[in-house]
Amino acid sequence: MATSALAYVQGNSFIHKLNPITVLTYTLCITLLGIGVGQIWVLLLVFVLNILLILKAGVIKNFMGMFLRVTLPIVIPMFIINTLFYPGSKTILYTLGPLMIRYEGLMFASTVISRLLAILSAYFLMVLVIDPRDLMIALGNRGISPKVGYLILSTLQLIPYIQQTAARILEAQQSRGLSLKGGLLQRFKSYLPLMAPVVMGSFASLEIRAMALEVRGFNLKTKRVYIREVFDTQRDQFLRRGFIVVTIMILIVSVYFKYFA
Amino acid sequence: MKKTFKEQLKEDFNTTALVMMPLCVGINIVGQFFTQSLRLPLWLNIIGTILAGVVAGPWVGFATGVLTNVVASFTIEGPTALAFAVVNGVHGLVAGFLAGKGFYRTLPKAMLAGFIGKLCDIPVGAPIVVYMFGGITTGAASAFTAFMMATGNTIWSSVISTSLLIDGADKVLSAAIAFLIIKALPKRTLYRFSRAPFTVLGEKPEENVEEPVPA
Amino acid sequence: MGIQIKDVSYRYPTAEVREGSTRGLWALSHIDLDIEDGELVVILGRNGSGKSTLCMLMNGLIPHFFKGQLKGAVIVNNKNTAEVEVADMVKDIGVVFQNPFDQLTGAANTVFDEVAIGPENLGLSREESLERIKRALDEAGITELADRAPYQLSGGQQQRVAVASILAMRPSIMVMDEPTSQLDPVGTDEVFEVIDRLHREGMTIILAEHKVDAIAGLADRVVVLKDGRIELMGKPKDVLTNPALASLGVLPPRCTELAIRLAKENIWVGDYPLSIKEAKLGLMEILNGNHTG
Repeated sequence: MATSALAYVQGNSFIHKLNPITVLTYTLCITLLGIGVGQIWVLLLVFVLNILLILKAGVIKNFMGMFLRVTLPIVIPMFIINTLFYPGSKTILYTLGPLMIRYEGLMFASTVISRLLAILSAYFLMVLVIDPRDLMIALGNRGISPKVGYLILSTLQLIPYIQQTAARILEAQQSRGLSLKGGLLQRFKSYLPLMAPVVMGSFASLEIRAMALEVRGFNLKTKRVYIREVFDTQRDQFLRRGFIVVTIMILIVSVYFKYFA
Repeated sequence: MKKTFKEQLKEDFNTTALVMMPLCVGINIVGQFFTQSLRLPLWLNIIGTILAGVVAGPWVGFATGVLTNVVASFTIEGPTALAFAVVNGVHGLVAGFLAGKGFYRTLPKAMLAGFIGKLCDIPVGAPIVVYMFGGITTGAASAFTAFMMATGNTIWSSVISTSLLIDGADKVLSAAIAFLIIKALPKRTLYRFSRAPFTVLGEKPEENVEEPVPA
Repeated sequence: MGIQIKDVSYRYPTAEVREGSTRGLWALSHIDLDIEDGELVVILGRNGSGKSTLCMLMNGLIPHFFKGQLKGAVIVNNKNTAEVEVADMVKDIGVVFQNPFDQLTGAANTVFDEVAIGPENLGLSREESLERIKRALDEAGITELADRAPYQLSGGQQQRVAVASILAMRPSIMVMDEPTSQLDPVGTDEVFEVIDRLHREGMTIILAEHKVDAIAGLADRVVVLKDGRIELMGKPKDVLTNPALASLGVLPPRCTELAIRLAKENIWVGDYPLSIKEAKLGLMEILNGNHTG
């Protein structure tokens, strides 16, 4: 099983140099736009914009790999099913033997796909360009509890480790006679003997882990000073305000056209 | 003496709960890994979330569910998990609330709690599946949805019935497994958490029993 | 300064009387112990005698983390541990536990970042933190590991990372609860080397251990616990040669044991050795004509 590696790709583009919160703000604004705007052409424009940003950040190859792997299996079946079977569809565009391609379904599928493309591309950009450590430090500098940073970073590091542990337990139990084959009931029975060691081992370590955190000053109320510096420049602040303002404007215009024009 | 909400939260999110959360995320992931290894037709990827909710309360459960999906989105698995972060969280939330009413002290009640969790996650999850993903996510469940739509049902009823029937079985089984695991946890560990003594052992918070010091 | 433990008795909240155990409900009973600055005190005793409990008493984990019932007072650097938070004690006293892996926070990609967490939490300036981290890495002998990923180190290396992480907070007192019990011989030696160095630099150290041979030459004082009470206390050469040791579940160092048995046969003369070096010298003297036939 593939160990979950970070999506983050290091780089020197201007996007990489931005404060992570700026990139986060951008992504959240795009999400709002994606949800609030219904016009397909706007959504596709946003998607193109994100692709351009991804290109500028130098992460286009990583993006293509992830994007195709993740979205195609969802998008293709969804498009086919909705175009053919979207309920309430009346207007038939094309007939292919017993199958009918209908307008309403096509519109629905196209809208969903555009929305998906627009929003997902922004998120892909974000995770490719932001180092989670920097994000946590930036959030910490703005007053978010360092415990949040601890949660996210330690979970990220733990995942590959626990996957390895699981693979090891799988091997160990198999060498003790546990079978991965057999009827459904048989395989169900094998589930607990695999899960139990993982859970018990995890819970057994809790006490020491918690105490170790305590003695490192985890619960101190002092303001943390991080060795690693994450800068928040004027440009960052300007960009963030810009994103929010533009998003609101586009939303207003979109709502106007949808309901009043 | 009754606690304020803020005080209760502080107790729930004590240091032990905070170190448990990443491990519960791990349990969620490993839970799914083993179902894949055994080729079982389920996900079983919220066991850790339920565990967290039962021992440390609904809010820790919710945070664990959300944490699972947020962290998954930072990995090469990609950000689609993020869309369902709240759905995962809801299961922790419901498990926590129902555990507070004693649901996780017997197996049948625990399974019922799992089903109730499913009922609660539909209002959150179904709109996401419909609006963001056009009704189709991945796997056998989507085949069922497709079948429903092809036979003339609306997209909403297709998605909801898929969620209820197919994913419902998954959530009920997850709750059952979580129950069995909780039963096996040692007493000393349960005492580290704010809610476990009550939700698992049925002990009411008692006044400090003062024992006489030995000679 | 230093540590004063005054008539302390402690009971865990989940304490139950177990069949066949003489311990009863109380993990510690009427402990009186004063520790001076710069002392290296070793705590011995069989499993369940209260060594770990005693260790966790010193920085407030007992009673704050474990709750339960605490009688008596524990004063560390003039602070009563029951009256201050565990977080307030971290600048005075650090604790190293048995399991190296579980002491890693998991929130750091490199050893350097891991050791940085303590100083960062203390809110020190960047310059001060950097200085402390470098120094701590050096003291623990792991400067060359600074860029490595903590999860990929050996047990002995990880344990030294744990030590460095605590040292970076510059406590004056270190408590170590069986720090080598999960390590292989190489790891064990690495850790004892660090302990020795810290001791020579004046750190107050409280060490709970089983490996009597390793600590015999190191300790300033030895305390032996049984069922939560102090049964023996004194200098190593007095305590480790005390015949009552075996009944307390503690074996003396092997060379001491050898000398004791030789003494029974009237072969050994003089003080019992605590280290192999002393044993060798003693044996040489005997072989050179100091023995009775």
